[in-house]
Amino acid sequence: MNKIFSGLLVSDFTMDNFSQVLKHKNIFPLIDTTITPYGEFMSVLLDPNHVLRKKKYDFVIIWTQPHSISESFKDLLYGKNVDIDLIMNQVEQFAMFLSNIKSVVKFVFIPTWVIPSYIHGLGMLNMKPKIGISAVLMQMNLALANYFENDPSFFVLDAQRWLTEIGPKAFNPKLWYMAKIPFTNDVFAQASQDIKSALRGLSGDAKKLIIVDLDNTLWGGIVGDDGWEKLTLGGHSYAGEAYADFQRSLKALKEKGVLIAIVSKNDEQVALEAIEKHPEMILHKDDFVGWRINWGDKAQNIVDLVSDLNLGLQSVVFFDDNPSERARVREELSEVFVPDLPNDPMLYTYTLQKLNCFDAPFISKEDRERTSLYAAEKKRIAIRQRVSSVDSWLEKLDMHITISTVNKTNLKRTVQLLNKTNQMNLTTRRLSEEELVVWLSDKNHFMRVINVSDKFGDFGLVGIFSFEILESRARFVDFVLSCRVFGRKIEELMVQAACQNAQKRDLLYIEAVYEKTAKNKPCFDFWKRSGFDYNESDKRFLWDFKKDYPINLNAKIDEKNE
Amino acid sequence: MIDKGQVMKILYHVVDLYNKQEEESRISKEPGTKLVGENAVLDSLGLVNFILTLESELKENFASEISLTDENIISDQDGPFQSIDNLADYIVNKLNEVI
Repeated sequence: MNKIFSGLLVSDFTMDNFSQVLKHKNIFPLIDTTITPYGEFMSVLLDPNHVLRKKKYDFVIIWTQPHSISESFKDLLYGKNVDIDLIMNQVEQFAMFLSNIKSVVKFVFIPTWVIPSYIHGLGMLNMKPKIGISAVLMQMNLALANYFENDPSFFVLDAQRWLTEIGPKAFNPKLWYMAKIPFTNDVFAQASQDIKSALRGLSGDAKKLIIVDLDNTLWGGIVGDDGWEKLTLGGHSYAGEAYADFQRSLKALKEKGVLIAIVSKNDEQVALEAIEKHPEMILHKDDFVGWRINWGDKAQNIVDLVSDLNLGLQSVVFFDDNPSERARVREELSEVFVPDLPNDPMLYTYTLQKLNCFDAPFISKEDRERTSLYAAEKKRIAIRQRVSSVDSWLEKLDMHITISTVNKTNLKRTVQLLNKTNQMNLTTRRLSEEELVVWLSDKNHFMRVINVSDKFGDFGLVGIFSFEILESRARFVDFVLSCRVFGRKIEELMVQAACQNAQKRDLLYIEAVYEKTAKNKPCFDFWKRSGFDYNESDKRFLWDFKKDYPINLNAKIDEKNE
Repeated sequence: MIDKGQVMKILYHVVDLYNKQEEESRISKEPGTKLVGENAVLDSLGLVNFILTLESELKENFASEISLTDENIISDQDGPFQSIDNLADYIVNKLNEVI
């Protein structure tokens, strides 16, 4: 991940320390920051001509203290009786101001309002509605979160979690009086981790697959020696309960679209029997997208498994109790993230839940059903292995492809696919919802999305192509396809549909300029065999409309122009 | 009695913590390193961060709270912040007074 994200930091306190932490190169992605001068945060929010709003940023962080945006809350802090409705009005007004910043950024992060934990306040009355500081603060934060509930560019971040993580060292009153900084760098480090994780998620760099070992990882004991009946899992032992909880946490990841697979040194039949028969197993066979259970090298097994799933190694997390297996995988496959696992299984769930590499900006229907989609894919592959040619295989799948315009129903998923697809992606353009809507409003811009289903299941929205009209030619802007449907001639269909639509506009030819990244070689390989003329010097593929783009695909194809 | 060696160790640890954070302007781990005034590496915010981290480390290691944030002492041209060595002497005296 080489991109440097540009961020604008807007705050009522001195942001230099936070900026230093964000810019630190120890965690990806790299960030460059612009800081709002102390005391100017409201003018940046309110003045559209402010010098800091002349530039475009990838993201903005707006981090304020509650008493800065609400005078009434300040009164409450000093023990006065206040009108809670007035506070809520001030919160709403502030949220409206925040909305203005959208014109210069893709994403806005707003840490929740917090107060130092050493403020005792009204003690036992702190949670009394309307008078308790904690109760009012919660109400303010909830109102802020509700205000931005349906805005996909805004993310309200839970700052209280950062403070809880650090404990009493989160605050140093001297730092406030001497430098106007309310939090220590330990808090900023926590915030930075969450923001960098969010940026990775928004750029499609979140991890997609977690590969787990079996013995002493998913359960206690060695299934080959002990037999599945004697494994430590569930029941009344604390270790058994911990293993069951670890499986529950893995299942929770699956619910948000992360795939789970197994790589284990075991006899496959014995291990699968344990998964199927042990009454306390939380994870069942169909929860796993795949497995390599044999006595071979785990690094090689991971490579094979990941290749079968059409994923990149950089999408993978490997969980294994054995330090030497972890070291082997780390050494051989540096792209795979291998967290250290504590010796005690009671700390496995803690270790898994602390990981922030799976963050996604939203969870789609496709995410929730991903494992079953891969299971259907296995059935397709089984047919593929029985038939003689790609065409006869595709014929047996009864594919149904729909080419649609981008509309309210599919906008979110389109943006998600655009932002997370790495391999079959011509330009790796990343856009927010707002940016895409603006882009689509130009009459010289054209975009269609592709939905695919077959007799084994529905893939949902898996492809996007778009072009822009430049005088007498069209140029592909996006050419994006989910790895789950590579090699079904959908790539060719997208090219053909783009050609047909460009031809209707009396253009002479269409071109595609490949923008190389560390991950999109499969896209280059496709274009090389696409039949387009290729110019090596500028990585440009060209199709002259003197002839139609040919395709031989046996599928039901619908077009929806809503 | 607290000796200077113990305090120097903590001072250098704080220098490490500071340098870990500041990738561009690093402090040299030498007794003669100037902390304030002309040719000092620390800017005003850097100095605040350094002093507060040092106070926190001293409290943790010696279980006694000493304040290093007196503006007059910080800005004194011949004061303890002229070098790491001077600061170590100042801290040793302060700690031994408290203990």
